[in-house]
Amino acid sequence: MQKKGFTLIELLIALACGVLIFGGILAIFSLARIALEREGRRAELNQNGRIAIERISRELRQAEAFVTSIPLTDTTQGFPPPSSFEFLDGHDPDSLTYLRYHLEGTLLYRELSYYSFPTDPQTHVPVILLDLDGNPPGKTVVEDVIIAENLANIEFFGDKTVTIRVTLQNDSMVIYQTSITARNVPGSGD
Amino acid sequence: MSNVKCQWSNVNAGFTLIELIVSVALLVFLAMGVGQIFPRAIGVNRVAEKSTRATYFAQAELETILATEYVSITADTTYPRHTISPGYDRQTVVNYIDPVTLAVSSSDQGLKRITTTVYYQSISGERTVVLSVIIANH
Repeated sequence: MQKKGFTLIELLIALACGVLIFGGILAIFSLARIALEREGRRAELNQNGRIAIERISRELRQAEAFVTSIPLTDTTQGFPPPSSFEFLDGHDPDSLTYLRYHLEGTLLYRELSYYSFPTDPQTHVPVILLDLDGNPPGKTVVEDVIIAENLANIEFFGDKTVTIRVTLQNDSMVIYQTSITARNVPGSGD
Repeated sequence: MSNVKCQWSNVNAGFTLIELIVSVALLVFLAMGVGQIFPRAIGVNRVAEKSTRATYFAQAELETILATEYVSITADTTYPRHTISPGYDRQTVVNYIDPVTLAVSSSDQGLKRITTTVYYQSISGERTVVLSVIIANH
């Protein structure tokens, strides 16, 4: 029996078929990779949004006093909602420490601090207290750490019930909004 | 036996064009099936994201109502469904409930239940998040 190989035509057709199939697989692969990356970045936004809201909520609920004044609504004339919010920490009632959540660029920081007078720097005093000369106390920052990233904005508004709105952005944008009542803060509703 | 022998003698024949086309078609069909997973997965991710947002909207409503005293929360009331953010609607119902059965009661027996429902749109139609809280008169 005579051994017969492929003809050139057969080879070309087979090659063309192979390239076509391989190209198709490559296209699917590339699409999947892009989708994976995009979804990963989107998941990152959601993750950071949840972290920001959950961490602030937990501590705001226990707050005993607000330091930062905030507008009643996000549309209050001439008073835009601030992107930083300071309050008296209620988790440790003895130590008089203050917490401040603030936005620096796209990063959300949680600052832990206390106030004291230069004459007695070890004694924590309330921020509203004045010394005998009428001077306010000085602030000492204990720590200031990043807790979330990819933030485009954070807004605080409301009264005793504070609405927190977090806008997150990288390629896409997500907005999370909720309201938290600071039960220990005296005010309307008591 | 002759049949078997016949098959063996044919061993160099390779695939026919039909067989090849069928197999390629099958491959394409399977690849399309696999390809369907991606948009579906992305859709599920979006639903999870919307569900989280909806839960926060529901939480906001409960926090706002709970900030007031028991007596000033009006029972037998429905705050009708309204849009709170594009794509998100909210409805809240306050009822007296029976302390034993926890069923809706027509009179004040010292317990109220606040149920808030947030509606949002997903690829498979409208979905809801329902949060409910019971408050006592003390």
